[in-house]
Amino acid sequence: MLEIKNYSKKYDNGVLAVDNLNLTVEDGDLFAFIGHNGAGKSTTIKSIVGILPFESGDILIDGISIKKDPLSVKKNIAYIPDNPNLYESLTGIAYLNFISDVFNVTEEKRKEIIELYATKFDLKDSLNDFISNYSHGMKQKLAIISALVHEPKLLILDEPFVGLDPIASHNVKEIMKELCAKGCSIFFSTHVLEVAEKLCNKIAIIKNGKLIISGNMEEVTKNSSLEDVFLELSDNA
Amino acid sequence: MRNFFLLIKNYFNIFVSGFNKKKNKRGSIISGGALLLIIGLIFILLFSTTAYTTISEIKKDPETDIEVALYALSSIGLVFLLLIIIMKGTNSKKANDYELLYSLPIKKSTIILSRVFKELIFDFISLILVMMPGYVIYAFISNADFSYPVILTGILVVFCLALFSSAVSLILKEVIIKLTSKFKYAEIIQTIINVLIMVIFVIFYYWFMNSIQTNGSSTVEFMLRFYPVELMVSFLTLSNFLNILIFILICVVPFIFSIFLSTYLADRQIKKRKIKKEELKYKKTKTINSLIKKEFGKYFRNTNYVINTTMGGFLLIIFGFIIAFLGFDQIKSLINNAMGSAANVFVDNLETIIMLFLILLSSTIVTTSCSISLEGKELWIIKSLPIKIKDVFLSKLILNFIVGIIPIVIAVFLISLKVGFVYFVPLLFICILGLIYAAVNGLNLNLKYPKLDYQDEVEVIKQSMSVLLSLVTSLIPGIMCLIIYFSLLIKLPLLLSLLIIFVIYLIIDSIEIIILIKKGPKYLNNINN
Repeated sequence: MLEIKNYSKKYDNGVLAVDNLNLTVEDGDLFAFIGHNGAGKSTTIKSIVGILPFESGDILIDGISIKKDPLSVKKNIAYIPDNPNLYESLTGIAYLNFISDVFNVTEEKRKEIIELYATKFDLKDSLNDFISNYSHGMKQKLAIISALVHEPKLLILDEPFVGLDPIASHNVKEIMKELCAKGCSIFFSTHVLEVAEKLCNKIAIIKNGKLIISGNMEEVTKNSSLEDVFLELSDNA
Repeated sequence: MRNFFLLIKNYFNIFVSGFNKKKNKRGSIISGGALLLIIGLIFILLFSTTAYTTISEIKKDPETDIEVALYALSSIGLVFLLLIIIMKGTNSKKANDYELLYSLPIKKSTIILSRVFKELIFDFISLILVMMPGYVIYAFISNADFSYPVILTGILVVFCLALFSSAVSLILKEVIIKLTSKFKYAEIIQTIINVLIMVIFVIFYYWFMNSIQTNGSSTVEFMLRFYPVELMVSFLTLSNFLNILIFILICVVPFIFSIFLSTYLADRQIKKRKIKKEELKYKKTKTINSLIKKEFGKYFRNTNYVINTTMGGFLLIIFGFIIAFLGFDQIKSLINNAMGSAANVFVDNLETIIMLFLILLSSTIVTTSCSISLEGKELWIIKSLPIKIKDVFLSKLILNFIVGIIPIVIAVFLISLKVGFVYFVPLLFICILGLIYAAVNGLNLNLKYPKLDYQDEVEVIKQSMSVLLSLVTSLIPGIMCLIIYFSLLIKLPLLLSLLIIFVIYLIIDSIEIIILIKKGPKYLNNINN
C-alpha cells in the first residue's frame, strides 16, 4: 500500500531532515512510526501526503508516485495532522460536507458515516457550531471524522491521540483496528509507546532522520518491552 | 502594582513584536519604535500645519474672535475621536487570554484594569498627536488673553476624551456583538454592520468637512452651535464651570461603566457557551462550489478583510455618483478654479480622463493579495486533499470577481449616464479586465510572498508584503494607459482608443494568467508552514 523508497528531505537551510528512508506498509497493516522530537516523523508524513515536496527518492501509494500523480494518490488516502487547524469560519458540518464534496461522497454515504462517528465521538450536537468555538479535542475528533468520510485505503495520522479524552482515545483505537481488519492500512506517528506496542503489528523507529529499525512488532521487541527497545536503540544509535 | 506594570509591559511587548517577528526583541523594539516615531512625526507635522494655517487665517480677520481657532481645532479632534471609536468599536475581535491570565496569581481587578489602561493609553497617545500640536501652536501664536494655560487644559481635555473613546468603543463593540449573537451567521452580520458604520462615518466626515468649508461666513456660527465643541472649548479656556462639569461627567461616567462591563465580559468569556441543537444538513455540491463557499465564509467573517478590500469598490461608487450628479460643467469649473490655464488639457479631455480613472479604480479591488496568507495554518487542508490547484486559485479569483463586479457595474452605469451609453459595454469590459488583472496579480504576489506566521490577521491584511506590492502594482496598467492615451491615442476617436486600451489590458491579463498557471502551483507547493 505504501512504499517509501530512498526518501531524503533537506530543509531550505541545508539541514538534512530525513536521510535515505526506506519503508513498506502492506494492506491491513497498523504501522507505528516512532522517534524523538525532531527525528523527522512529521516531515516524512507531510511528504507522504503531498504537503512537503522532497528532492530524492520516491513515495508510492498503491503503486502511484506522490511526486508524479499527487491527485490520484490523495484520492486514496486521508491525513490527520498533529495540530488540526481546521477552517474556523465553517461549522463542523459544513467542514465535513466540504471534505465529502472534495471526495465526491454521496449524500447518503456521508450522512451514514458522519452520523456514525459523530455519535461515537459525542460530537453530533456540536456539528452546527462554528469550528472557531471548538476545543482542541473537538477539532481533533472532527479531523478524524473528516478523514474517515471517504473510506480511505490508507490513513496517515500524526500524533492522533494528543488532546483526546480517554473515551475518544479508546474509540480511535477501536476504529483503527476495525479499519485494518477491513483491509485499510494505517500509518501513524506517536510518542505513546504502550499504545503502539498494543495496537500495531509493525513498527519503525527513526532517529535524527535515519531509520534505526523496522519490522514486525514481535521481531523488533522480542522479549523486551517497546519502551526498553526504544531507549536502548536511541542511546546506541 | 508590580503585576499591573508587568501586564502593561507584556502588552507592549506583544504590540512591538507585531512589527517584526523575525528580529529579536531589541530589533522589534527598534523597528517598531522607529515606525511609531515616523507616524507620530507625520501626525504632528500635519496637524501643526493645519493648526498654524487655521489660526493665521482667523487672526487676519479682525472681526473674528481668536477663540474661534480653538473651536476649529477641537472640531478636528472630535472627528478623529469619532474615527478611533468607530475603528475600535467595529473590530469584533475579542481578547482570548482571560483564561490564561485568570490562572496566574494576579488579582482579577489588576487584569481588568491593565486591559482598560492599555486601551486608554492607546487612545490618549493617538489623540494627543492629533490635538496637542494645535493647542500648543495656539498657545504660542494666538496672542489671546488665555493662551499658555491651553497647553495644560488641552492635555486634560485630551485625557478626558481618551476616557470617553476607550469606553464608548468597548460599549459599541459589545452592543454590535449582543445584537447579532442570536443569529447563526453572527460574525457575517457583524461584518456587514461594521462596514455600514464605516460607510456612515465616511459620509458624516464628508458632510462635516463640507459644512465647515462651504458655510463661509457662517462657519463660526456652525462650530459655535456644535455643543460638544462648546463643552471642550469651555474646558480649554476654563470659562464655564457648568460646561466643564458636564464635559467631565460625559467622559468619566461611560468610562466607569466600561470598567464594570469589562469585568462582566471577562467573567462571561470563561463560562461555557450553550450549543443549539439543529438538524444536520448533508448537501452535495461540486468541489469548486465548496471552495467558493469556504472563501466567502472566510471573507465575510473577517471585518478587516472586508473593509480593507471593499474601499476600492466604495470609491468607485462614490466616484460614479459624483460624476453623475455633479455633472461635467461643475467639475470643469472646479478644475479651472483649482488649476487655472494649466487645467485646459484636463478640461478638454474630461470624459476620457474620467473613464480612464474609472478603469484605474477598478484595479484597486483586491481580495487575493492576502488570500493564500490567510489560509495560514489551515493550508495543510488544501495541500493534502485531492483538489486541483487551479480550482483553489479559481475559488479565490471568483471571490475577488464577485466583490468587485457590483461596484464596477454601478459606477460604469452612473458614468455612462453622462458620457453616453455607447461607452457602457467597452468601459465595462475594460473595467472587468482591470479587475481580473488586480485579482490575478494579487494572487501571484501572495504566492510569491506569503506570510503564514502571524498572531493577528490584520498583520496579513494590512501590512504584508504582497498586499503592499499589490496596492502599487495594481495601478500600473491604468497609469500606463493614461500615459499611452495622452502621448499616442489622443487624436484618435474615443471608441478606437478604448479598443486599444482593451487590447492592452487583454495582453497584461494574459501575461498574469500565464504566470499564475506556470509558476503558481510551484509556489504553492513550496509554501511550508
